Amino acid sequence: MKKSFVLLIMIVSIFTSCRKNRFGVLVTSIVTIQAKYPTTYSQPLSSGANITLTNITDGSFKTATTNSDGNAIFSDVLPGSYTITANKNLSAAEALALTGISSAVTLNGIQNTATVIGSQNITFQLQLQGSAVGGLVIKEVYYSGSRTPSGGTYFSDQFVEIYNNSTDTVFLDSLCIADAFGNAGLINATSLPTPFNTDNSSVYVSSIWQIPGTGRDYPLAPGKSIVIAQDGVNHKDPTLNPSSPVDLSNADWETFNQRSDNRDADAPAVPNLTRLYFTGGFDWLLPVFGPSIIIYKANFASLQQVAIPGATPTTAPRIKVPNNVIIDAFEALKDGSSGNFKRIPTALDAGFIFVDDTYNKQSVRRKTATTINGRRVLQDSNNSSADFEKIALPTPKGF
Amino acid sequence: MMNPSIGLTVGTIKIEWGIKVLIGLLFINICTLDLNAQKTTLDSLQVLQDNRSLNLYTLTNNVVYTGVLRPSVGYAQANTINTFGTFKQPMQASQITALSMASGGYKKINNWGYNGYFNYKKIFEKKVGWSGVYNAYDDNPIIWADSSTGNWEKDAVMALVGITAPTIAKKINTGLQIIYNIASGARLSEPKPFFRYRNIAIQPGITYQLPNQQEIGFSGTIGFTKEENELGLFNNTGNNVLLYRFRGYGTFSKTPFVSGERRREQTDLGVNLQYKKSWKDYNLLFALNAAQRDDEILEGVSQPVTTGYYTGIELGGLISLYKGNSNIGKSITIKASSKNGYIDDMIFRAESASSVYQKIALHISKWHLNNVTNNLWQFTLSPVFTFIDNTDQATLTQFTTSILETVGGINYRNKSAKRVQLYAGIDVGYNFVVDDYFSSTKPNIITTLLVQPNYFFHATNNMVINAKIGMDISQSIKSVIHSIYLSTNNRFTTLKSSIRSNIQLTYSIVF
Repeated sequence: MKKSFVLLIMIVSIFTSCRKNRFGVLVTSIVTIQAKYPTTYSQPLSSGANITLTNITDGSFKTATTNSDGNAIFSDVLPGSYTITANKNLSAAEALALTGISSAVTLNGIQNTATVIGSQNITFQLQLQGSAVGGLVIKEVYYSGSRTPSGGTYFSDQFVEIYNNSTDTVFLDSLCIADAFGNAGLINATSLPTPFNTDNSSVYVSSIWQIPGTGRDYPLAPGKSIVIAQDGVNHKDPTLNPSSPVDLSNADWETFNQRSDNRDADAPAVPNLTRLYFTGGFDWLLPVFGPSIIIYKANFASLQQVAIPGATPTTAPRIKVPNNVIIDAFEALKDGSSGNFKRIPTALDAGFIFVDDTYNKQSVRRKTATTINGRRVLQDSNNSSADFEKIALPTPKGF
Repeated sequence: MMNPSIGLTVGTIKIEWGIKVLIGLLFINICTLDLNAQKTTLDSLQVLQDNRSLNLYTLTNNVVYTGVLRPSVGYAQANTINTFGTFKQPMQASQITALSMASGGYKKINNWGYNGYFNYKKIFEKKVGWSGVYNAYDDNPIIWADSSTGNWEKDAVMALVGITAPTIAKKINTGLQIIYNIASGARLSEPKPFFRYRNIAIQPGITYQLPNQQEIGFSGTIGFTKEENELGLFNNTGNNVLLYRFRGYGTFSKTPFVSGERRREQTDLGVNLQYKKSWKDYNLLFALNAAQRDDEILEGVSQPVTTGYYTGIELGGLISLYKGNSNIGKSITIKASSKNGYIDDMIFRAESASSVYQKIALHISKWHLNNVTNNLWQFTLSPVFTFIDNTDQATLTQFTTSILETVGGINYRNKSAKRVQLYAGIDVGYNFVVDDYFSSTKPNIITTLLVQPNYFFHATNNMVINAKIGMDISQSIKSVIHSIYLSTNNRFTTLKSSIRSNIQLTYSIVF
């Protein structure tokens, strides 16, 4: 009996010691999630962001709000795979402080697979992203032209500079630039305002040029700009106009108007914009009295062609560009009393700018609102009167 | 993770407590026992059926004891059982209808004993929810299911073959038993979960006779089980169905799915030690058992990935004392068992859930055959104390229940007629929930729909009423016996007036 009992104890002991201690006790973690603003913002870390930690396996979730250090802290988190999402709504005032642009914006962030493996403290960093605050703007328009040493007029040195005023890279592919139809003021006694000024929902343009590309070929970083020259050459060249204030041989694009008579020379070092529609002469000449310019994105075929009221049937129609596809608008008129000649609806541009005279080398440039992390934020209140300033000489890519 | 020595201590404590109870009761029960008092084959079968003798084979599962009390007979049996009622665990069917056909027999030839049994069962289950496996309450809670409810059809076959060898050196008896179970089933509605179940158990046994009518025995079990599960949307109506993988008592994963395969591989090891002693008209059995079950759950076909482990450890023991003979006698049996389950989760890489199921059962029986009227009366009393604990570390869910069930029964046999003998029996009892507790710090949909209702099931007082009637018909002592029995088992609760009942009809022919 004693032997049997000992045998029994031995067998029972073997069984109870066979328990496989595979992994150990269940340990939960403290998970810290740090929300970071886009690098173009004035602060690196986002406070007040709503963070959601969702367990992929069962769908359960926890929420927390980031503190002043940008950290949301979750305790008692089980091991597993999680999705981290973040949301931060910036008011216009908050956006102004962070981006320099007074425009409400929603920032979001997501990390699809965050693995928690049961240690005591784990930190994840989550980059917030949102729609770009701000956008492309027309930075400078040099339209007045210059005089040659002999006193002649010279307008081939015109250019338009477009600036990425947003917090993110913008792709310029298929961006269109066009000039609005209509007189810039009382240029002569019979000059009339544009007959299209009764339509406040569209801009009627005369010529359209487009940046080529398939969608992501031409990125433009925040704070960077491109120069579109009428002619991408060094206008200071003695053979052209030594009195010209600009050398546009380094322009990003030029508006080469290919003609059978070769009246417009092509600058081979500067890429050409695509000519979508043209009603001008031998070159894309902006009115030296004051042009109105828009930049927009839309399929040309979808735009309506509208005959100019009262014009002869042989006059080419103008292209109607709806306000809702227009990214930015600029208006310059002949002088301060030319307000009734506005060609841009006030919804897009509430004012206008003007220079002192034609061919006086003056240019108009958008004002700088603020500078964030070295990035200039240009003023954009949709009012050329307030946003632009007249400068004595043009400054292509001056900053 | 629980220290293995704690499980042993818990089991030992229960067994020691059971021994003390037995010793106290031994002074009350003093009877005599005569195993060979029955006269006919029918008498022998009725003794087995009524447990009016120490049934060593049933109590120990040692194949060597197959021939004790058992006459050499063959038999065939047809059975139907219908279960219904709302007092059930949430993953059980609302209604179960089962039909089975069985045959078997025992024969002793030249001191070799042969035992065989074959059973085929067809099962129809209605309104089964949250289960995609053979048995959702088979201790291991790592199962899978989709969120829809439907009707199942299952087929199950069990085959048993046992053989005992002639006595060696007048003291040693040996035997071997093999049990083979296969089953398959599927739900009739999309996404049509399906299972295949196979189990084989090899059970050797040996006994050694000691002086003074003492005997020690040893039996073991080595078992292998494989359950394969599949489900898939073959006629997708556009409805999104989610696959839930239950990983404990509330912990789960869920994913949309189109199809999936899963496999559960189970290994069982068990030992049972017995000591038997007879003196005067007493028969005493003392047995201890230990068993371990290891499950591994895998998913995928080409590259199976382990998704979880389950380990179950069971310790138990019993003492059974019979006094008297099959006509006039008394018996007392105390059984104690403690079963611990552990879940090792692959996502947490930790032991995430555990279970405890402890039970101590006392069964007292007294029977008396009136020599004049040939009426046999048997009285039984069975108090059972059960403790259940399910704990989930991830959802911080725990429920415990302590239940005291007490059932008393009266059975009657009229043995006055040689050709037709009648039987009637009734059991009445009550399940009283002594203590219960439920807490869930991080409840979820599964806690609400499955875990808490399971707790309510175990924490609800209920009344037990069972009844059975039948008759055995035989032309003569040596002729074929026809038996037909009708029984019903019922549980009644005051909770929403719910019940759970089954009605069973069995016809047997013994030859």
